[in-house]
Amino acid sequence: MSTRIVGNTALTTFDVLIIGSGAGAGPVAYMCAKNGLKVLVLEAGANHFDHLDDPNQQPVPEHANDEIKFQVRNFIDLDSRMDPRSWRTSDADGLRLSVGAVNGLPKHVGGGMVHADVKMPRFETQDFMMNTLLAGKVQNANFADWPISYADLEPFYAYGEKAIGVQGKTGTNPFESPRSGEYPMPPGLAMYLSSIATQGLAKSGFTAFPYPTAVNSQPYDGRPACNDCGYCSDYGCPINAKGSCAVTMLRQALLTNNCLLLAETRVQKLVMNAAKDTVTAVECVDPTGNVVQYTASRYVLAASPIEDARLCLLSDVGGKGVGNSSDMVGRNLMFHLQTASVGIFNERLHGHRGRTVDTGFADFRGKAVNYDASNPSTALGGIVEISGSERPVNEASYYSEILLRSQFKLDGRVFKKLLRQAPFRDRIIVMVMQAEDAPQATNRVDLDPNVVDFFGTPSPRITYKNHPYELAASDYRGPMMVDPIYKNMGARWAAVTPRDDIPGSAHIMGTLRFGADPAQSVCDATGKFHDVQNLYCSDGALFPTSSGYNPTMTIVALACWVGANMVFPGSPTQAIQ
Amino acid sequence: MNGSNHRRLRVVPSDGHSRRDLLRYVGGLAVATAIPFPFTGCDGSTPVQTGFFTDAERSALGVLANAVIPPDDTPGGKDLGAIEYIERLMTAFDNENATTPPAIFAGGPFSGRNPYPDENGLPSTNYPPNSFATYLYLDRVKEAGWRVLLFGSAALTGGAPNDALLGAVVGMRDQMKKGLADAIANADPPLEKMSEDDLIVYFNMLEPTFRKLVIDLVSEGCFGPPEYGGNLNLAGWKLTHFEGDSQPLGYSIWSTAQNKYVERPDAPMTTATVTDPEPLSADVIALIDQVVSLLGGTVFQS
Repeated sequence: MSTRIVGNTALTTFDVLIIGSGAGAGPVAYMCAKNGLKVLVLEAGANHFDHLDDPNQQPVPEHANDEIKFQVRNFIDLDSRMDPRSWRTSDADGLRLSVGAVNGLPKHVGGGMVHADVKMPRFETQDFMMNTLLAGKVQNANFADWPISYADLEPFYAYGEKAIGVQGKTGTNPFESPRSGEYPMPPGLAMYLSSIATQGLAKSGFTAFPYPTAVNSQPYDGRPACNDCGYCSDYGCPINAKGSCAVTMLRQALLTNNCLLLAETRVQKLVMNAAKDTVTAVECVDPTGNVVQYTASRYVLAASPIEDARLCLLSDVGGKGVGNSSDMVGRNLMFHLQTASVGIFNERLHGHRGRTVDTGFADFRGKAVNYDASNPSTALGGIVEISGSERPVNEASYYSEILLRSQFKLDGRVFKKLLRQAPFRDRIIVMVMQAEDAPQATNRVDLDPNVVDFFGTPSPRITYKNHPYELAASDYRGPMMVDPIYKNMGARWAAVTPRDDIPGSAHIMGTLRFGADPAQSVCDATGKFHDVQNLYCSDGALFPTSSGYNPTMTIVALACWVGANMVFPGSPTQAIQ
Repeated sequence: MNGSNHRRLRVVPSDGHSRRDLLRYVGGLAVATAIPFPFTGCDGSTPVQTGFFTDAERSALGVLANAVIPPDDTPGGKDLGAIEYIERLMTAFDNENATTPPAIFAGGPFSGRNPYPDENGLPSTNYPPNSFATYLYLDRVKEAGWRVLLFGSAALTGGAPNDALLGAVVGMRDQMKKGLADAIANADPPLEKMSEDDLIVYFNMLEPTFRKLVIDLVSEGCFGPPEYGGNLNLAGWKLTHFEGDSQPLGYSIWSTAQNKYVERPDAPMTTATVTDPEPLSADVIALIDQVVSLLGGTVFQS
């Protein structure tokens, strides 16, 4: 069994206490620890790595090529009964429409980055100034420019890419913003299906490029090259070829001797002083169920946007919530509306051999133009991921869902024939387009008045409904995936698949947006709460807008920025020199 | 399949799970102030069994497993080990103690079925041990969740969270026992004597929740890693032409001697499959035509 206590166990007093251990936490821990600050990291979930703090060998994960463990029995995903969330689309729905899984991220050491396929494109220059570019033309939305620019963040993108190990090729995405250097690693090999997709895209007038991912395409930083085992998205990497923060920046922090990590330690609330402007401790449940407190000089929320906001609200029962003079805590919650499509081919494409995604295109994102609500082509879509990997247990559930519909019947002979011929496993190319979620104050996290988790703590309630802006982008570009793109790839069949009712993108942003105006934002440009002098946020909760690119690289860069500003206020680049 | 959302792709619109169904959860009750729950299983109140199914249940489940995956020139669900898989899951906590974790999550990182690569990017003769063969301990929250899933709300003192709002959870063990009892009682002739065609009709008339549970568990047992009790002799992977787990070899192998990737000739990654072991048949093509039409998609080749 992997250890629950990792790092320097002799540490008893801390300068910085970080809640969470994922993409928003590891970089802060490293920035602070490598500059001499004593850091305590509290993670609610388990630690699935042995030797995470061992300088003499690489961590040994409990992860495996095991479909039952990861996709059926949810080894690292939230248990929807013990950690439930509720969901509704608006107040008009009543207290809630459902209880259970609502866009959860794993709770374990390394957070969601461990089981992601770590697609790591940067945001573009335009993504930091969407309010200016849209000029107020999107009604009932709450767009805001970021308080920092792409140029401010670029050195931290570059630093983060090097720290976690990102593969890619400069100049292949025609829409990318200027980079200060080449990617740390070249692109790895591409799947066979990617070559088919690339040809079809070129014929359709679009430009495929190697997807930037934090996956080693060669031995890097003591970790091995990826061997394209195929168990990537939804799976922890058995060989540490994925550069999740657990095995990169968090591990580096632990190796400084200035960091202690406590797993299975769930923070239940921030303990505030009487004026509610200073955090004095955090109250936790430890692995055996005891309630304990930990203290530090400064505190950082990095538990993912929904949990960050939940904690602010739990910590001021009867009040507005910690740091909430603006009434913006929990609001402007953004997911990415994902438009998925599938092309089915006559030939076998063996998409299970390879990384989940190695190729994409960004033409559906493009550049912001004068927005016109009557012209859906002016609503920005997002980057499109191309994949195909699938395994037979999941595949079987697709077929059973089909055959159990009223139009069909479950005839085992047909069911088995489908599994043997594998049209939905071995003969598919899947494309998924992200899309910029228009931020809306009404899309929010608050505390469900009735639903609780295993510990009896009020669960987060998600109120979320898509805005016509992203729906227009999806409705306009989804059919284009079918024709001309799948047609030009040579697919026999193609379709856009139905949207889910309950959000589940695993791209979670907003709830503690940062900005210059304390009346319109929760945190300032450095991630510090406007209202609380020793509380920070360092994850995707800070995002004022969501872009149309995968968020994790920007979370890592932003966490580097926040950590660097904590160490060197006003001159953060000193921390990365 | 979907690289971003870490969930299954919805292939077809669901018949169920409508907005109306969701509304049944709307209600209002006071916030619970529960303190962490002890597990009732820890004090022995959860019945301990070494075998879960009776002979009659095992026989009936074998018939149902073969209804889901019939034997042909390859094994059916029963011979693929579906019953053993299901029984191991139902009894996952039976032998659990301080030195034996529950049989829920197999260990990692490697199964021992594939070798390490050598310096030239070729399979070596050096195999890792099978770490799938031992199970992992669950943290407190995960253990509570699995006990409730298998045993129902009674597994936790005070019940599962939100029972008052959502109703008590019926454990999978009870669902399985009740479903099998009904399937046996309502079968005429007995399950074991039904013709193949009659069995298809009967299977589709089973109570829907139990029917789906059987389909899912049989699929898991036939096509999951064999360390969970099923997929005997890897026959489930063989019949689906699926290679199974591939670590620590993988498909693109880094040659430390050549400082570049080398692919496996037996399982190419970047190039086409040379021969299709089982091409699409006319009836499967016709079925996909129907499904794509349901999705409002396009058939490019008829």
